[in-house]
Parts: sequence; structure tokens; C-alpha cells
Amino acid sequence: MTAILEVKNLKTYFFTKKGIVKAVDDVSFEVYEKEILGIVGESGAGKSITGFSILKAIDPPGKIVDGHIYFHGDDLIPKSEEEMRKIRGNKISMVFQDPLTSLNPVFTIGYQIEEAIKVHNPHMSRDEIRERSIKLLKSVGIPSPEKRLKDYPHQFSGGMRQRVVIAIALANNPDLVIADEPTTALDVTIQAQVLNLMKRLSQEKGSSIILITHDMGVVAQMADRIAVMYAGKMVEIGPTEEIIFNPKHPYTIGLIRSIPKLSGRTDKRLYQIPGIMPSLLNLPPGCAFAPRCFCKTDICEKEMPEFEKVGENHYVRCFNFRRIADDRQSCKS
Amino acid sequence: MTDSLVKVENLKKYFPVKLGVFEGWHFENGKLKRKRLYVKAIDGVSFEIEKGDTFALVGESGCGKTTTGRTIVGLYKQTDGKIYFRNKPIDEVLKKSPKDFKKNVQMIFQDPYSSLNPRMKVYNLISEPLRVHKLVSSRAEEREKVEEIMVNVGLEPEYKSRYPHQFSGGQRQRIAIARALATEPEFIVADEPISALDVSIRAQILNLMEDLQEKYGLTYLFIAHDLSVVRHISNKTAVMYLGRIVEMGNTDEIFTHPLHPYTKTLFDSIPSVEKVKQPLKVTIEGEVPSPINPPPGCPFHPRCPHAMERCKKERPEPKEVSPGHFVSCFLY
Repeated sequence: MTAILEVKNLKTYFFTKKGIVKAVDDVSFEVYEKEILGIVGESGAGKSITGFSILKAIDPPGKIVDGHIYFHGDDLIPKSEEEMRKIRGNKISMVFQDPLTSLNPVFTIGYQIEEAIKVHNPHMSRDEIRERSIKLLKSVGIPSPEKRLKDYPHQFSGGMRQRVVIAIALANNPDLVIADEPTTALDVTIQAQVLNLMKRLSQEKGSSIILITHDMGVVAQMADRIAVMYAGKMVEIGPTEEIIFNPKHPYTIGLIRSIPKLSGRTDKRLYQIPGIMPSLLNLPPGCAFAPRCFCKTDICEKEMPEFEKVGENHYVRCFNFRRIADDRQSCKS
Repeated sequence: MTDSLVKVENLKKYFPVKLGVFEGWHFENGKLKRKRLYVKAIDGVSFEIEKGDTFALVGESGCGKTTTGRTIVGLYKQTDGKIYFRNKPIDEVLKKSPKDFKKNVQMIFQDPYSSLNPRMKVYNLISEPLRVHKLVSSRAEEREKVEEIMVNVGLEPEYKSRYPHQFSGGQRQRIAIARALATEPEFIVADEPISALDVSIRAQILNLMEDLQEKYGLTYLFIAHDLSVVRHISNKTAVMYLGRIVEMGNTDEIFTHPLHPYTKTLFDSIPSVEKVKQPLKVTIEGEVPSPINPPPGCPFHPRCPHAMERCKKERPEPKEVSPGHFVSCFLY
């Protein structure tokens, strides 16, 4: 497998009046060809900022302060805004959470799809562009696309709008689609339709997807690999089955155990992670999860652990993962 | 009569649609008339909640689950149908002794960021219901009571002079729960109490709600769209679609033997960590029709894979297929 995207030691900080918010702090990962990488975490974990950083779409007071983003081996960090514009929406595109705000309400959806094609294909004729728009709308399952090109976003339902956004994202056959909570605003039956559509189209076009979500169930069914983020850091990354059935980091373990099961309850009480995620403004020294961890030791409060390999493609950032794996009881002492 | 705490009979709630000045006019027998349009948010819903139950209402957005909850607590007046609280119709109770009803029936809202007054301190937020219902006789008693409630919902009493914005989402929801608990109610309507919260906080609030139920013998109407949460917390479940209940029964029964095609679809489409790497099943296409002009007959027939001629004309009535398990579908 070849990696199309390599993120190395990415740091995106926000310089606010109250201090430096380390929204993304030393995050490294790869995205392979034709794979779906799920990034999960709570709000404020830095998953969306990671997505925006890849496109270098970070507005002040935010700034990418360090790291490299290699796209097909080519570092995006030194690239100028003009060069980035040729990549955005062309080679790498994005699907946002709320289709009502990501579509412009005063333009027809036909105009918005055609714009996305025209910008990156200046020599294409109007008829060609129109033809391609119709084809795109058809491929995302919008009935009678010729007529609907003339409609405005408010004339579509939520699910249909998200299909339009996906059509725009796929307009130029991108190598990578960054989907930031693409179905959070949708109902479950519609969510299933949209997620299936994304998976099918990415397979057909050979695009990779970074699927950012807080829903463990979504990544469990969609992703090939899962990365777990907590307080700006990536704490665990590995193949989907490994993360779900054999999680190593205490946060991942807690997250999976605290989800109620569809098949009925196993324990009387639901497992709960105590406390809340610390503010990114004053993170504790050492491991950010230590204050909530059931297995913390003295070192956790002083140093940040490095990634360690625990299995094929499975890495975890925790000092005590061996103790946790051997015997969870030994943590309590 | 049974010893149900809350009983809802053929409840209907229609909201009038605002029309433009020129809209809706037409001639009828030579006279100018105006057509009225209604959003049929709830269209004939009946169920009973027994004391100590956690009764869950599930469905997609727009199915009428929130409207049902709000109508039961008296925030909306029903268009038709009856709601009984302790076997008395609430229209009468609300007329005769509104305070007594409101003391016993409380609500927790979805979004703790908008349900708490940002200008009120936690102490005032929790003591307000105590004062309104005259449950305390002195300032000292009031303070003691507020602190007791705060401890019960897992808030530090030292934080009582803080404002809502100084708390995280999970803690805010604890404040909202404290407020609802202050009057020592019997029945609480919880409208999506955890959907606005972060994943790692949800379990905390669910456990808290269960602990409080055990401690105070509460009865919950739990409104949710997340099926795994419903499975965990409720013992009775009703599935709603377009203003009607399509299936209802014991939670275990519904989850192990779902019968209505819509219920089955819901179960298929919900993503779960228990279905690792299984493709998401899409068993139905299309979207929920508008409640302004709901399809005649069974509301689900335009999307149903088993739709028959009959479904387009007749409305299926709830049928008891096994004790306590009701399905509104002609297949059974």
C-alpha cells in the first residue's frame, strides 16, 4: 500500500488573548490509497482542525506552527496560497457537517457545481461542464438532475443537500476527500444512504477518505483504520477491528465501553469515564488523559508518552498499556 | 382502571401553517373561502406509562416525539384526544390546580446551552422552583435544600454562585436535571437529554438518571433518536413515524423481535460498534414525507418494501401480536 498523504508532527496552534490553544499538537499519520481513515474524538479534540490543516485552511489567530504535510510526496506547508487553491477542491476536497451553511443560498446548485468544475478546468466548454454536472448529480442519486440544476439549496431536503455537497466534492475526481462529520446533521435512515453513497463513489473513483466523526459506530462500519484523538493529540491508531475489539489506550477502552450496546445491557451500570476533557488552554503536563485515567502512574503526569507499536499497523501512546492489557486489576493498586 | 401514571388517548396536535395574504383562497358554491393547512405533528397517539417505567419514544426528526412530550407536560394544548395523569384528565387538573400538576411533572430539555437562563446563578436556577412552589419556609432551609440537590446530581455545592457559562455541557445538563428534581416530581419528560453532549459524558448523565430514578422512584418519558441508548435505559419502547406510533412494547421484545418494516429499517441503518466492517444496510430509499400532507393510509407505505394496495387506502390500527407488543401494520 502506498501512502498518498503523510502528515508529520503537525502542530496547529491558536494564539488567543487568553493564551495559546494547542488545537493540534504533534499529530502524525498516513492515508493510504483507496482507504477510509476514521478520525474520532470529542468536540475540541482537534479532529476538525486536523482536517482543515491538511488544506491549510486555517484562519488567524490560528497558525500551522510546525510539521509537514506530504501529499503524493510533495510538502504542502511551503506552498503559496495560489498553489493551494489549485489543490483545494481538485486533488483534495472537503465535505462539511452542515450542508445548509456550506452551500450558498443565493446561487442555484447547478451554478455551484459548475463553478467547482470550471475553476479547475478553465478550457472546458459550457456544454461539457453542464453534462458533467448532470452526470454527477445522477451519480449521487438525485432524481431528474436536469431540472434540479436550476433549484436553490432551500428547495432540497437535508439528505439531498448533503448529496449535492458530495457531488461538488467529487466533481474533479479528487484523490482525497476530507469529510468532517458529513452525516451528523442527518437522520439515521438518511445517514445510512449518504454513507453508503460516499463509500461506493470513493471505491469507484479510487479516492481515499478521511472520515471525521464522534460516532464510533460510523467509523466501525465505514473505516479501514481508526485514529483516536484526545485534547489535540492522537492517542491511538490502528486497523478498525483492532481498535474496536482490542483497544489499548485507556481513553479508547473507556470510549468503547461507555457506548450502550444495541444487543442489550451487559453490566448493570454503563461504564463511565470520570471527569471532562481539560481545557486546551491549560493542559496538564504529561499525558492529557492522566487526570481521568484509571491506570495512571507518576510518570504520566510528567511526560508525554511516545507512540509504541503494539501490533500490525497498530500504535498507541500510553506508558501503561502493557499493564492494562495484562491485568486491569493491577491498575487499581 | 389500571394503575397507569400517565395515559394518552388518541392524542392529536396540529399546528396551523401560516399562509401568505393571497394564498389558500378558493371559491366554494359561489362563496370565497380560505383553505387552512395544518402540520399534523401528532396524529392519533395512544399509550400508557406505568409508575416506575422508563418509556422511550424513538423516531427520526419530525416524527412528533418532542411534540408528544411537550403536550404531555402542558406546554402545548392538544388539538384532540385525552391525556390522563393519575387517572385525571390534565385539562381539568391544569384548570383546578396547575401548580400541583407542574410540581409533579417536570421536563429536561435537549440543549443545556439554551435551556438555562445565562443571567441566573446556579443557586437561583435551582432554588427558583422551590420558591415558586413554596417548598421551603426559610432562607436557611432553601440553602440546605439546594446544596442537597446539587450533591445528588453530582455538582459541587461550592459552585452555586457560578453562572451557567462557567460549566461544561455535561455539568449544565446536571444543573437542568437538578432544576427538574427540585420539586420532587413523580414524572419527568426527558427530551433527548444526552444528544447535545460529548460521547464520554453521555454515560455519566445516563447513569445519573438511572441512579435518581432508583432513589426517588421516578417515572421517565425518554425521548431519543439513538436506539442503543433507548435499549439501555428504557423498559418500554414506542417507535414513532410521521405523528403515529407504528410499534410499541417491552424494549427487549421490540429489539429482539422487531415487526414493523420501519422498526426493522431503523435497526438496520443505525451504525454500531457491534457491526464492525459490515456495510451499512439501506433497506429503504427516499425520505420522510411532509407532515402537512401525510400520505393517506399507512404513513410509511411510500417507502415500505412490503406495501400493498390496502396500505394506500386504510390506516392500520395497532394490533396486539403478543402480550403488550402492538404493531400497526397489515402484515400482522
